Amino acid sequence: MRSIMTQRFRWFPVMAILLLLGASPALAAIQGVTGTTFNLTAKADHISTPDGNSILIWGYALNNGRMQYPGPTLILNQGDTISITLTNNLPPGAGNVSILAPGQSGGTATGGVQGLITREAPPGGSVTYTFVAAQPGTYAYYSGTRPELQVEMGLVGAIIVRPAGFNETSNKIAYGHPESRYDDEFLFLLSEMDPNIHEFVEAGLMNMIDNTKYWPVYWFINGRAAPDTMLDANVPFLPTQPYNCLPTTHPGERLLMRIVNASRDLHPYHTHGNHHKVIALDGRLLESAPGAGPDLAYAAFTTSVPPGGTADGIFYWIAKAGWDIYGTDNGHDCVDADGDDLDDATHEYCPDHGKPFPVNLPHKNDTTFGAFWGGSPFLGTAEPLPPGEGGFNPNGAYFFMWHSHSEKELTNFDIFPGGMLTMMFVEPLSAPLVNP
Amino acid sequence: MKGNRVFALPGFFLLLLFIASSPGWAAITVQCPGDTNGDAIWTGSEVRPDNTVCIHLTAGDGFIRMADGYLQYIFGFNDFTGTPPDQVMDEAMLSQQFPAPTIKVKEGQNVYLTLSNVGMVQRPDLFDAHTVHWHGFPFQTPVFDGEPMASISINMGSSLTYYYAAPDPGTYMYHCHFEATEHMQMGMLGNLYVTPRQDDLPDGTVLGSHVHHTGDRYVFNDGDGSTRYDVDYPVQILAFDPRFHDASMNVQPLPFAMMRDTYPMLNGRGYPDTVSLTPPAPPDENGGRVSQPMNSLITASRGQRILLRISSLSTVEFYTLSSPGIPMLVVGKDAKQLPAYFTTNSLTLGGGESYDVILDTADVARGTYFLYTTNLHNLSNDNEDFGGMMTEIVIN
Amino acid sequence: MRKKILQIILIIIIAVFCLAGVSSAAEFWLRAGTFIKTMPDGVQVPMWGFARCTANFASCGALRVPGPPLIVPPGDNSLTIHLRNNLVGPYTEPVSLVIPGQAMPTDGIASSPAPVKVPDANGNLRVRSLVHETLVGSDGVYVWNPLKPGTYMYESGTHQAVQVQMGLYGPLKRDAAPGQAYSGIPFDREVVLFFSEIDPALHNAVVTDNYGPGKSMTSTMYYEPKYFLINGQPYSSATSAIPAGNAGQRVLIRFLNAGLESRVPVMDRHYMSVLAEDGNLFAHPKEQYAPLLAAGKTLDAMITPQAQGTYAVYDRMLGLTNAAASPGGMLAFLRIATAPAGAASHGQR
Repeated sequence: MRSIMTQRFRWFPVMAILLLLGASPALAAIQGVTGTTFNLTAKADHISTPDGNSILIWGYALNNGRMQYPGPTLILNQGDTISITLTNNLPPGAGNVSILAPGQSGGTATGGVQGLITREAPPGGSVTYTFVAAQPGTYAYYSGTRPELQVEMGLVGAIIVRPAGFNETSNKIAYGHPESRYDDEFLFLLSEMDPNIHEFVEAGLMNMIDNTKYWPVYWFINGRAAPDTMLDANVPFLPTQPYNCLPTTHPGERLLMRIVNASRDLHPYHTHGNHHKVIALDGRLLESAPGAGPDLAYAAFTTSVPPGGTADGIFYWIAKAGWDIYGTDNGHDCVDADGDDLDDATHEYCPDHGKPFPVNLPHKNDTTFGAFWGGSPFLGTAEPLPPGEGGFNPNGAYFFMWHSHSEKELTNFDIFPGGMLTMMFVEPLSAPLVNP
Repeated sequence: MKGNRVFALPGFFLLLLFIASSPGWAAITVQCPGDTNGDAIWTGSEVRPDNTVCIHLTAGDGFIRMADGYLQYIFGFNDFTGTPPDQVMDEAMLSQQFPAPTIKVKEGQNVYLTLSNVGMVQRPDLFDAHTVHWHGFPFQTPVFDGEPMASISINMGSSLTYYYAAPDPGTYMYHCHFEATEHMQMGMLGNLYVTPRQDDLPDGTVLGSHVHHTGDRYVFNDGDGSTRYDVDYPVQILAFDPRFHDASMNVQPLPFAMMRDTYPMLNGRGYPDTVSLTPPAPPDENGGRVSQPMNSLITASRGQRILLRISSLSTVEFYTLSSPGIPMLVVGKDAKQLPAYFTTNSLTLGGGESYDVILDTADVARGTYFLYTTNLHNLSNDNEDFGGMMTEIVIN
Repeated sequence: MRKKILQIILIIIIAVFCLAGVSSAAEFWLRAGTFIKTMPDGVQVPMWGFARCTANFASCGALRVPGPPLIVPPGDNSLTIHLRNNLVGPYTEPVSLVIPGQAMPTDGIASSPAPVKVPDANGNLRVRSLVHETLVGSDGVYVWNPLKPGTYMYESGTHQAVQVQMGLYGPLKRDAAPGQAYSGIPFDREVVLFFSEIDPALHNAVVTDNYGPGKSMTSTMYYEPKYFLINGQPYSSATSAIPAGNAGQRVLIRFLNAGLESRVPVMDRHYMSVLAEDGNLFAHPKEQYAPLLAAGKTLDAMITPQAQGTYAVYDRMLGLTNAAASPGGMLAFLRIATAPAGAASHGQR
């Protein structure tokens, strides 16, 4: 109970930044780096958690820049031969480091030293991995050296392979089939941490680490714990956590969820608002035969990706509420020329057009308002709220929580709310998504 | 394009609602079309509109007993449909049940669910609001989704009415989403499912190679009878951390980071209470009321198709539920018919997932079988052996 | 007339052979006993395990964990296991056998499985065995008829929370036809990767009679495994690679998990075509590199390695230590040899 009151004040910096940026926060397509040759450096640094903690981690840095968590998302093109050179600048005592890229084919490694699983970069040294990005999809990468320690420490990242024929403006597809097309795409890289392990590492007491007593108390999406997930990308006060997770869409659009489980545990990821259709697992379309398209795709409201694995889901939202979600007193029309029951422009569900709101909402004094409640049940309408209430939804968007349904994971080291949580919001068509 | 003729009804009844329930301030107020005295049922001269269901749930606190006898303080829901609104607070306080009452509706029904917050008797220092999150209902809007950060929640002593046109059939679940980690661990969790229109087809309707007869029931509008079942049982995976519940009862800081569930349960009880037809002894602490009414005993005649509506609202762990002697035909996940059914002997669920599983007993010898977790340490009621997440399937 | 009699005799003989083919039964003798297993760090853990014996228990092999592989010939569609309970120590229990994924066994005489329940302190009955029991010092018979093809785990069905973890489990397979795991699923080579865990505190409590009501350990709820095994061994420097066929061959990996927690076996640089779980063939195989191997689950996965080499298989849920020591745990290696000259090669999906 106390947590709600104290957490409220932590949310002000979140939304102050969002409001400063105008009608909608700046939304990046998936942030990452493109190319065919990459230089990554493994190094140590600290990350911040919303409860005020600062945790030593090991991560991958692009070139020899600042380390980032997660490592840079590598955005590749199908068919390219990729070369990743990894240099080991981890602190003394950390040992070797490496990269595994499960799902990539024809991989070879040169240089470095032979480790148990793959070739590794010794302290100060380098190793080069080469593979062909033969198949489009969403993949993970992580260290293959003492993985139970190094994955925990933060040496994880995502790989996205664009299919042949992909075009950023005219042909956004995830796989080589039109049924994998999308309008907006977002990365959900899931991870967790047990800060005891990081404290032992920082204190030079690595022999005190006991993996069988693993007890995570932090959970992250794209390297940040809520509410930091909803800050802008690249905020200056989270220099080692450049990525955010703030998905958004319009009614009737297709939002591609690229879920990468970089942790060691299962997390049931739940999308409020609607089901998502899982079209691929581990970078492979769910198809009955090559070229058939995702005919084995299935809808889910909660997807649990095995550790190390990935899933691609298409989320599509309209309302079938049984009442008109745009209200009944503003003279709007629902025009369905193509016979799909949806307004051709706004994707309003025409069978519900003109139906009045079916109940009376309680008196404001009897109601607790959410921070993301716009004051009105209607999409695109914001209504006044009592002083201090709401305020984080000036456009009257529809917000839906997307989160791990293991609710313990919605905390930051004993403080609720936090953890593996973000808010997806549906903007009315009148509110453009910036940089979708 | 104008709406269809059904659209007129909500407008008409909205007027009746307005008459019957002037939204006051801090009052238990039921909104149910055609119901004028606020008890959410139609009696006397009250007329029930077609295809309409009204439910009145309360939210508050209560007490239950674990299978080893241990008393647990809970937050929960209870069903007070039929109780006059001015009696609800008195009767509902401290009466909540675990799991929450099962909600079963038919596809397309107009569902009006009034949620009344009756406060926490054991914790007068708390003024928590509550919600009902209809987990998995497709094409949601925030106002009725029950997720408080994006929506509204109802304060103590007051009521909020949710409206749904019951959506596509399948196995869903519901829970409070206010301060979710706390309220869900404390027990505000229940079964929810929607039955398909296909159940009500005229006798003799041909569905592919299956001919529908009155009384045939299906999981989905499958069009071919492949999800037909004879008996159905909701099986909800739940688990408690007694240290968390005790801290809540004793007004102590809540141990979120150390949360560890050691009372694994199905439908609110641990074995052997899962197979007991009599509820655990009602605790004195809630006035001696039955607070765990639901068992998980599955019985069928040999040859029948048993539908297990399996869901999990565990807040911490994944659990693998196994039926070692009777194969599971998985026909649905998350309230959607699977494009390809598959046969297995165990399913692994995290919180917020559901599966529809048909057990075909045609080739199964009569006898007693077991449905239990293969995370075998969870066959315990905390420090008591031979308990936990297990129930029985009796084939006669 | 004589010719006709001979014809009839011939028909009868043929019919008898045909009937014998239809109801051919595999038969095994297993004994359950107590032994010590030494971990790579020198810790000795008391175990309960199975040993394979010759007919009528005339002579027995060594007790082992996992138990001895039981290979049922393709033509045999029923199975009888004779079980002898040789558990010794200050604390022993009845044992039994079940094979999840197959029907529950009977003793061959009863028509239904016969679980055993015992009353608790309040007189309420709680199940102790899922099927009929074999008491200490006795023999029991367990019959499965029919027996489906596929990859399965046999395990004790008694007090499973304790006994499975103590080591009473092993692999069983029956191919649908020679060289075919399931009908229409041929393979060139097969490998078994059997995952399991050990919590030494539980083992020590059990064998010293410190487990049970009123004892120092009263339930398994606070289970905390310290050792993580593949095919009965945690990884150590003594671990050698498992031969797994040649490049271009179809290699069937039979995964089994007798642990109490899920695992995710990842094979470096290889996709797996997951074909079946719990002995049930999927309508369509799943192409995955991180399949979920849940507690008590079996998976059949086909790989078609394209290049020779030694490839790691590791648990991506990171059970990769021996107690606190690293490296260790669920790490194994598959060695793929070069393609033999002129051999048929199967493409990668």
